[in-house]
Amino acid sequence: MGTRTVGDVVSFNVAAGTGSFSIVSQAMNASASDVTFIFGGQDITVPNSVVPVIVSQPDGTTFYDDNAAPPSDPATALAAYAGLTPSTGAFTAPNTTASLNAFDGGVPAGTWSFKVSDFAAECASFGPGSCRDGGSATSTYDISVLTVPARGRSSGTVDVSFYLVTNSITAASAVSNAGMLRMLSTLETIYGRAGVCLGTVTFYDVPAWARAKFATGVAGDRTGPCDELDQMSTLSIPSNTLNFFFVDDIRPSAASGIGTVVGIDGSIPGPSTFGGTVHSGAVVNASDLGHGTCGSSIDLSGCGSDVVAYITAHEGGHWMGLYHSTESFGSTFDPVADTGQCVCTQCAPVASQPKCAANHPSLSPGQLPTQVTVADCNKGGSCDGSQFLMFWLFDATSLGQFSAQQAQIVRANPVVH
Amino acid sequence: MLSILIAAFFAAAGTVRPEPPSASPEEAEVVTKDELSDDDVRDQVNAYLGSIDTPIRANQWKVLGPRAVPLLEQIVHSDQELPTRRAKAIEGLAALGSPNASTLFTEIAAREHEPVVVRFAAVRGLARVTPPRQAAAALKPILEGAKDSRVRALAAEQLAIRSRGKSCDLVRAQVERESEDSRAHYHRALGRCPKEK
Repeated sequence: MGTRTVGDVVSFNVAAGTGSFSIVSQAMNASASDVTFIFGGQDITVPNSVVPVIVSQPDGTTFYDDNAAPPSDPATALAAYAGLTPSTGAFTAPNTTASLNAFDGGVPAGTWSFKVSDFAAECASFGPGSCRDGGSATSTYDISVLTVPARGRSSGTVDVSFYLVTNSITAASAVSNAGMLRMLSTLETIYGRAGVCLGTVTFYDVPAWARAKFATGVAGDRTGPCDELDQMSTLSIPSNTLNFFFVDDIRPSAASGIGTVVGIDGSIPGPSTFGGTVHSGAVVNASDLGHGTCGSSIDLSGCGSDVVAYITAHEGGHWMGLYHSTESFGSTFDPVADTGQCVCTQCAPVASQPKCAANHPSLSPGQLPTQVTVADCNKGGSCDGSQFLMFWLFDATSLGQFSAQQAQIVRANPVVH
Repeated sequence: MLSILIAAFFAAAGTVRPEPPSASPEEAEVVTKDELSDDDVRDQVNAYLGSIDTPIRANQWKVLGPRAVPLLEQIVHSDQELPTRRAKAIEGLAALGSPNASTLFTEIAAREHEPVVVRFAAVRGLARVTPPRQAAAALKPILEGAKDSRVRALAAEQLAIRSRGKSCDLVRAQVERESEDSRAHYHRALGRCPKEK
């Protein structure tokens, strides 16, 4: 579609028999300043993220409106676009229960359209009453639209690349490393539950300068296009693969009190088929690889390679369009109806329920909201969901499952063929 | 815009996560969750150790209170536990500020056989629990004595941060002693130091 300016309306054609589409926007000359909105009387500052607004279907009805209030049940929305995606972002559908149902016979054929936009452009359009700082209506993006034929089958294949940003293992040794082979076997088992097989698996060494730069870990709490995480992603080679960067540590950028994580994905979903962008990969702490003892079945308490596989599969799930089935506060859920929900006010220990975010959004100073655990969320009914790979955490009892609808979303992603 | 902002508060794994509106500022005093039973505290510790891409902030560890300390210490000491789990437990202990933390972190940071992720956590934890005036005394042995240049480089960075640049002479002296390859690990540490005139 070429380079377009925010505010431009772009049309694209969807052929009959299409199963999914993806709008990928890459910054050409976009505002890099953070954007500060005035929201409910408070300033909220966010990175300038790309987002297509007013996506319209061939019959003229609105498929997605970024300025509309979301429905109380996110599964009823036709599209979810809930990440912060500075510089590069992908809008992929279907990714909700409603769109899976609407696209059951294929994506409606004909001419679709959307308006190119980003937060800076939205801020500028809102005016000073809602936009404190960072408004700009001049950013340009390179726009691509990918369509994937409806497959009408329940399986697919994903090619996977591992970039080894570590001194612990090389590409040459990885192919015969017992821990790595166990990790791959477990990853294939987990993705097999979504009907997805691993295709070509490739290991890459990164340049020495990159290993040196990230030798003490990669900063995981800064995700601007010039920050470490995004710059690491640009090391990926252009290809349609699921890219993972294996590192020795994912750490805070400073003594900020923000905790470490063991995985992080560049964006939800990732810009499939576009390697080398600032969001072209997920990062996984691979320190557990080869540690512990592994038996014949997956063991998330004692087998480090299984743990690395689980984290890898989870981050790859984000790349392929899946959100956390239940977020940590038990008050927000993914846009998929069959992943269960774990509602804090019903599932947390009784003594902790008064502090659930939904019950008590303004806790007294010094108090923190309750977070739901695996043990809270494996009871079925409204206390369900920890059995899924995309639950916000895991423990030794986690099952790493995909729901039927999650599996459909994954298989519809352009990275699966 | 509305949908993005709401979602960004809670659902944006892999991206910047603004603090939820009901959470306390990071360094504010927190109220311990005394209403939790011992089993609840254990469950919460295990939950935090199993977090994948949701960072557990220092004040979230703090509200679990002193009952979490022995649980975390047991995990840190156990060689049956996986490295990332031990590293997270160290982070929790550092946030809770347990009395034994400084000694424990010093020992672990010095152990050459420990996985590097565990040593990294120990170095960061040691910097966190050490008063700024004592940072040089606590971190200098690691800066100069660790055999792994990555651990030395992280100690240099933490020393520069904790001393607010006042110990950068130690950092620069160590960089001078490093091989050319190892010097490349010090870019963050030197970035925390004022430029030499």
